[in-house]
Amino acid sequence: MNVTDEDGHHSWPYLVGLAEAVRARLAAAGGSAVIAPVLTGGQLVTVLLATRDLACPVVLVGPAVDPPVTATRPARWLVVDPAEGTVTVGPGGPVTGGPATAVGGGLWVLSSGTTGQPVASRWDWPTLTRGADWGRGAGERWAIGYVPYGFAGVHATCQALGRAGGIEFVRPEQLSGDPCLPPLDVVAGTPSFWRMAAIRARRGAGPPRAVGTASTGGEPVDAALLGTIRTTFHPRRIKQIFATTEFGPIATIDDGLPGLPAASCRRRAVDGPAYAVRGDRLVVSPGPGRPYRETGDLVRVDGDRIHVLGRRGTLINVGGHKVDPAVVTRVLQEHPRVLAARAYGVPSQLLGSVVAAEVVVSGPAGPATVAELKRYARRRLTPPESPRRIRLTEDLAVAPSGKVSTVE
Amino acid sequence: MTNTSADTSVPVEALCRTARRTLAVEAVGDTADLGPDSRLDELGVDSLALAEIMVELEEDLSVLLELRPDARLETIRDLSRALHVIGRLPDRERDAP
Repeated sequence: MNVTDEDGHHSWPYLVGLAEAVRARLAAAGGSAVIAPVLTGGQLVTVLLATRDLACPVVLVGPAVDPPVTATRPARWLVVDPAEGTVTVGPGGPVTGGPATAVGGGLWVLSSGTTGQPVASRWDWPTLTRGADWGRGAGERWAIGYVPYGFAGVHATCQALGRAGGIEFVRPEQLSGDPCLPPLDVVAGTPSFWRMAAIRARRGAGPPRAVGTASTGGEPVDAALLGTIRTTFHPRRIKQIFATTEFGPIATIDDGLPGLPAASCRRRAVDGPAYAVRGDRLVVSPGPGRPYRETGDLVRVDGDRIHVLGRRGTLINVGGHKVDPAVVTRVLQEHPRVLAARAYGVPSQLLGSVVAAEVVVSGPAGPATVAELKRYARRRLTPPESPRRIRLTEDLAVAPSGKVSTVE
Repeated sequence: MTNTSADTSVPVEALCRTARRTLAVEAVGDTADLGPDSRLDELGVDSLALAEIMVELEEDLSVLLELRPDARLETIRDLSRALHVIGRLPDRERDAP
C-alpha cells in the first residue's frame, strides 16, 4: 500500500508510524474530542488510521472552517496536525457558538454548505470501515478526486483503504498526459471533476489513463456526462453514487443510464436506505421504520427515471421567475460542442438577476459560438432561463468542495 | 436628459454595437441598420432583452452600469443617455476570456 497526494508519495509504514504517534499522543493528552484539520489525502489517511474506533468524537474539518467554533463544544478538545503528527490541547471550558455539538464517538464530517452553513453529520466507525483490515488490499489502484475533508472523500478513502494497494488523490489533469502512469482500477470524483478531466484529456496533452470503474457523485449526473466519460476514458463500468453527508450513500446505480430508477422507489435492501419522490423533492428513509426526510435535492421524474436537478436554495430569481441553474447547465451540456458548463445569476438592476453561464467548448470558439449557444439555449429554455451572458472559458470555476460553483 | 459627466457616459456607438450583436441572436428582424434613432419597441426590446444588453455592455466596456430610473426609453439614443457608469467590473470578471 502506498498513498500519493499533492505532497508526493507516502509509504504505508510511514503513514502507519505517523498515525501511531498521533494516537499515542491523543491517549496521553486525554481530551474529550479531537479536531482534525485535513488538507490532503495523506493527512486524511493519517487521521483515519490514528482515530479509528476512538470513543470520543473526531471532527474532520477542511481549510475554510474555524474548528472550535463550527464543529464542537467539548470541554477539552485536542487538535491534530496530521502533517507533523503533533497534538495540541485546546483551551478548557466550553466553546460558545457554532451550529453543531459533537457528542459520542465516531467521525464527524461537515457538509459542503452548498445551500448555506455547513452541517456536521456523525458517522460511526463500523459503518465507515465495514470492519475492513486497512492496508492489506488485493492490489487495486484507486484514484480519488473528491476533497479529502468531505463525506464523499472520506467514504471513498475508507473503501480504498480496505481494498486498494495504492491510492492516488488526484486533480482532473492527472487522469491524462503521462503514458507511463499505471492504469486505475477505480476513479472516484464529482461530475465536475470528470468533466474537467475529460476536457484536459481532449486537449491532447497525452493519452487518458485506463480506468476500470468510473465512480461519480455529489452533483447531478446527466446523459451527456456519462457519454463524455465513456468516450474519453472507456471505463468498463460507471457507478453513480447518490449520497449526502447527512444520509450517506442512498443508492448506487451502474446501469449506464442517468438518474435513479423510479421502479426502485420505496424499496430497500435489508437495513438499508430507501428513496422516494415527494412533489419535486427527493426524500430518503435512512433505514426500516425511519421516516422519509428531505435531502434538499430537487428532482424531475422523466419516464422510468428520477433525475436530480440540483439543490434547493440555489435558484436564481429572474424578475420573479425562479430559475434552477442546474436545468440551464444541463441543457447547455447537451449541446454537442459543449464539454462543460455552469450557470449562475448575475445582478440586474431591471430584473434582480439574470442567468449567465460559463462554457467550455470543443474546437474553435469566438463570438459566433456565443451567439450559436444563446440561440440554442433559447430554443430549449424559457426566456427567464436563457443565459443572457455566455462566457467561453478554458476551465470552470470549481468550489472548494470540488463541485462546480453556482455563484459568480 | 443628457449625460452630465463625460466620466460616466456610455458612448452611443458602443451601445449600438452591443445591441446589434445581442439582438441578432433573437433573429426577430434585421439589426444591421440599428442606429441611435432606432426605436426599442420596433427592435422588440423587452425587459429581458434590455437586461441582456446591459450585462453584455458591461462586459464589453468592463464597467458596471446603472439605468437612471426616470429616464425616457424610446430609442437607442435614449438608452445611451439613461445609462451611466458606476464602477469597474471586478478583476476576476475582466480577466475572464
